[in-house]
Amino acid sequence: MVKNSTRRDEAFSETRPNVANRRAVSILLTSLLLLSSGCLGNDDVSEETSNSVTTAIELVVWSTYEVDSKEEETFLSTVDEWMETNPGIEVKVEPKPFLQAVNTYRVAALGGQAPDLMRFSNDQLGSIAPIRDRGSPLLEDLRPWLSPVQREIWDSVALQSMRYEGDLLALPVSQDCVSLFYNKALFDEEGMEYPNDGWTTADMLDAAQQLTFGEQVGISIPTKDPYRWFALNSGHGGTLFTDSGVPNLDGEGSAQAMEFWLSLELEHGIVPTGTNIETMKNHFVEGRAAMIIDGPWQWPTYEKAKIDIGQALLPIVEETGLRMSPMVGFKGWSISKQSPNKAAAVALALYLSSEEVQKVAAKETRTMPVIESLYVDEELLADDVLAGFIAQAKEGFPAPTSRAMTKIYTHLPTAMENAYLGTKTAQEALSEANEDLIAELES
Amino acid sequence: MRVIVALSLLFVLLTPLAAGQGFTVSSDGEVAGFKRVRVDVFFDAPPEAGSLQFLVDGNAHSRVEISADSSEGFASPAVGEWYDDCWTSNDSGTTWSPIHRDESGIPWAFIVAQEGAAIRCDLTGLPANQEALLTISFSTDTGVESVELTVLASTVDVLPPPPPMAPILYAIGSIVLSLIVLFGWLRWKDRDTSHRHGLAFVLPAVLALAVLSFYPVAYGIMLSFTDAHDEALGDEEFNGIDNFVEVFSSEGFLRVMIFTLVWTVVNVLFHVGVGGALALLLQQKIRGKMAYRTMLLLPWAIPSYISVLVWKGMFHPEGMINWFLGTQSDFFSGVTEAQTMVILVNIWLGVPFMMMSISGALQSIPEDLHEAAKVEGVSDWARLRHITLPLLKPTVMPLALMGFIWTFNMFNVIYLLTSGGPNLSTGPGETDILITYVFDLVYEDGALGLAAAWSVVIFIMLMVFSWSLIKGGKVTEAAT
Repeated sequence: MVKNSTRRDEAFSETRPNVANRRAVSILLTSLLLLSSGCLGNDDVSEETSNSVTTAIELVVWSTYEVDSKEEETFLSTVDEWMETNPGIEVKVEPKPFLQAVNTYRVAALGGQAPDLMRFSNDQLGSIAPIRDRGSPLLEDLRPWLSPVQREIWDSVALQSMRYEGDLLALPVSQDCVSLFYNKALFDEEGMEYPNDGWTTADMLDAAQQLTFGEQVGISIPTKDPYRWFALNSGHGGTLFTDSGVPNLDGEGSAQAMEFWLSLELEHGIVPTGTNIETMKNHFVEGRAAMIIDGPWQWPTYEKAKIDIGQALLPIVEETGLRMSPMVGFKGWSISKQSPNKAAAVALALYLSSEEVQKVAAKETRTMPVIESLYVDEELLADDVLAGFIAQAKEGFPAPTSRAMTKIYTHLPTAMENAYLGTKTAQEALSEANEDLIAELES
Repeated sequence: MRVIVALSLLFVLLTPLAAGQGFTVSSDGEVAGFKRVRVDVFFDAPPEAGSLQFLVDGNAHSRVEISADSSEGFASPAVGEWYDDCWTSNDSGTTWSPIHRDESGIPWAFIVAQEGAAIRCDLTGLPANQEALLTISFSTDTGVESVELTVLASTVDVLPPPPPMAPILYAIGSIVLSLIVLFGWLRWKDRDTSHRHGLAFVLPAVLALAVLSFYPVAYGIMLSFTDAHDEALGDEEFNGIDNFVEVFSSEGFLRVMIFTLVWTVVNVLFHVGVGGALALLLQQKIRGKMAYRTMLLLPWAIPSYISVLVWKGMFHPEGMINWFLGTQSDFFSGVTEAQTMVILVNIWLGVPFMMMSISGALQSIPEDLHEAAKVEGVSDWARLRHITLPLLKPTVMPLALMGFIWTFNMFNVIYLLTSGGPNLSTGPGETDILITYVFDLVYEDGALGLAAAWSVVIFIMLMVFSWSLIKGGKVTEAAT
């Protein structure tokens, strides 16, 4: 058996495969050289963007609306309408998860595969804006594309929030902030008055305590969520940054704000242990939570759950007399720096952020507009909920569009975790977070 | 490009000036930038208070309010703060000062009543490389004067350069060529032997490995010696061993290293131990063996991310585990609780694979050996020790090595369950292992060079571990 095998191998080796092998190697080498030379062109190709919006082109839009939501439905019908009036342009909409927007876009853009348009919030812009690929930013500066008259339609604060170090990186389309939601039925059952605009934090605490029994939750808030805590922080006089832009997490009032915030769970026991955003939503959807702090983007979800919802301004902080002031975030449409069809992309972005489209979105989905004229639009103000949110936004402060702001979301949860576990006092935890943040920004 | 520049120059020369009744206008489409033109308005006499309006192709574009009052209360932003910068001059354009703006950003020119008043504006939003009709109207209480001129914003847009493929192809090509040369040499060396053709069969797989594994590893190592950061991609510079110094001197290095080792060792021990025990149990003649086997395979059959998310819900303070224990513990907050939780979930996920693999190995042990031992009166325990375990070793040792490498780099469980938290200090979280921390460094901090250095450390650790195990003969010996 062994012998046979050896003989077969020997016979095989005598078939002189050298010529064939040599040919194979030479073909491989030639192919490799051709492949290399084909790809060794000049990389510094500067292309002129086509300004024509009438030629047959395709725009890829990454929307970050929740899939199958009312917001997405409204958005898609808006895009269809635009395509009807711009027959030469095909718009391909691809949904992307909002929370992954930065990473998804970054990876695509660095690989030269960025969509023409994508919707970002202003804090997300703060993450993307500093990225440079061989000196080039990932997003188009839109200032050259607009005349001052075109810019005037938007709320100047919203427009400013779309800027990063001067560049205008998106056209504002909406704003949002958190507000106080309450379940009217649970208040009615106890014969209690609904929250009102004159409420203080003491009133809220008192009501929450009365409404907490059995499986019922007086108020459900994600205790380790910085975004919602910002509102209480400003109500205590705290700020995230000083006027000169230096981080100020441990400023006056911040420690008290954090102590009160955590005490709702740790001391008063009116917030269930370990409540996060998902459980807060579940508490409210299940009709177990009397109050929550949430934003207008969740309103349709709660309505769908047949909850009789009310909305009120966040209360006034008892100790300071200042109203809780939520951080107002803005969203806008950005254009990729590498888009080959920028003129068409800008035209679409202008349409998507126009007064007409924002009004439809406000009516259909209660998305808060960022157009000055819509703030006083009688038709919109007739909607109590929308009017309530607009009133809440007026009490808020704009989210800074900066790298420092995105870093706050890294350092503040650490402070909250330490204060929650009691490994540090609120003041110590905030001071440490502030020092770390400053050190990171300086490095 | 040259044609466009020449055309625009010609254009500027042909239409340098347009004169109105009280002012003269000139434009330059080259100096202002992409989609902008620079327009200078020179007043023949000190202008009255009024409004200077700009229209492009008949559409309102912008305006400058002109006043002789004091500029007190108005801001004078630095040039560049607004893209459509404007300046004023009181000396016929010899010197220019940034214009004042009101709260809405509308420019205001406070012009002293003297000769030589002028306004310069860089107008934005013009069509690029297309002529546009610019109308400038000056409205005062006494009337309106207008001037029209054609302008051309000639600066072209510059797209970012496409990703550079040449260096990548060069690197891959070099690796491939080196391998071809190496294989050619090996074949030449083995020219007199009978197995030289074997190399040709191996070559395609090695080439695939070169492109998919060797190149990324080599690139990662190269990156670890640079200051690569996503704020300056493509401009990275060699920075020696700075990244490695930062890795080893970082506050969280020891913490994350210790937890990574604890995580790996505990998981592998339990995977092999529990998997082996279950395999041995299922080897016995028991009723409903198939049903048990199917049940035990479920964790392996369900996609891991679904299993992990289900576990996440069960560990929640209002989840099934707390309900079962009658507690309201927050497993995600306490350090020990969170670390125990992630390890438990990964043990649950990893046991079925080990169980199945060991089960297969158990079935390959000849029954004759056990029969002979039984005849000789050998006890069950002695048979396990002297027959089953030694014969399982060839399977278990490579499995354990593989399990070690997999678990060391297991990303899903920690990322989905705790995202590395709780975070009680800067740097790695309390349940972060090396691989999840590297992810944060890349996607949260954009520190690519530093992340590459951490990855090289992981690579070296796994190499050393695997090499020492192979060199010690425990794996190869077991496998032969």
